[in-house]
Amino acid sequence: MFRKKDWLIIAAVLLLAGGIALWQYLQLQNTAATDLVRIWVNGKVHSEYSLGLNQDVTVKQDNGCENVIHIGENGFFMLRSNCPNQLCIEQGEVTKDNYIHRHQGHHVICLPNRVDVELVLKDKPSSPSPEMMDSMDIPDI
Amino acid sequence: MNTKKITLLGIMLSMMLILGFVEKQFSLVPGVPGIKPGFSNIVLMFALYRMDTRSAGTLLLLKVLLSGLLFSGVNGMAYAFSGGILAFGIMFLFIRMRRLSLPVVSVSGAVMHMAGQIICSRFLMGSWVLAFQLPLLLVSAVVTGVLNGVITALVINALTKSKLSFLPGKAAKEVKNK
Repeated sequence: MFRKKDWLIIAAVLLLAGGIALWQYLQLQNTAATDLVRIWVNGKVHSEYSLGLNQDVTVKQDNGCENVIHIGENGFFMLRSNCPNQLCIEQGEVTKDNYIHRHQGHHVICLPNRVDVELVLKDKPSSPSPEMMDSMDIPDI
Repeated sequence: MNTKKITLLGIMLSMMLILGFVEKQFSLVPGVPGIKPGFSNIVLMFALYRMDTRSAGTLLLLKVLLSGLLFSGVNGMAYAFSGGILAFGIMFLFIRMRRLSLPVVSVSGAVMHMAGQIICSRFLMGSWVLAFQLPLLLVSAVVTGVLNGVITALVINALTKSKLSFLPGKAAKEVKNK
């Protein structure tokens, strides 16, 4: 059933998957989480919240879609949703520490309701900050 | 289009709908939209392989339309349509070329289905968020694609050997000529 050409194509697809995974990992490694949670609805910014207040945010849309997002101390998760597949609930919590290892990165996505909740990231400073330089022991010459 | 063909297409369409419905009842990887076995592609590939393009295209369009109306809604229909069209295109091309084996045809169909859905999400969600899942989706496309391709090849072989006369195409002609 399989010929050599077939295996080559399958290997190419798997290699592509590995390459993309590595690239994404390296991209996320270069970021740091902020305290800002941004909620997108229908591809537009709906609202922004700050971590640390332990609040339940309800996103109601005119078409009857309703999502409740719990925003806690260190992250957020989808608490309730009236979407048919409930995959957004299964996606679990995004925290400042775990977003590199999640399938959806720093997002929780509810496709049927078109809601996307994002933990806003910033670039990690590539050079050591002045405070770090101060604390380092550099011997006087 | 004769009665035999209409009946056969009806049976195939209901098989696709049932397979699609069963798949919606559980998620293979928790929380990841888009990962499913895609068994209805077995029926579609069979149609592409053994029947004419128009019948296969009709099956695809009706499956997307009815599955959307019955189960997943307009939003789901948009995703299924954009994925389905791309998958159909590449599988049509590869099957007509007759150079690649069915598992690879099926894998490329699965990859294009995924690509179509990610492009669709670009317009519905407003960003490429779904692209985060690309590596996982590609791996699952390979696994489910190979599985579906092998099953399709087995089904086609078994039905060709059995020489059932209800099949359009080669087998039916062979039987008629005898």
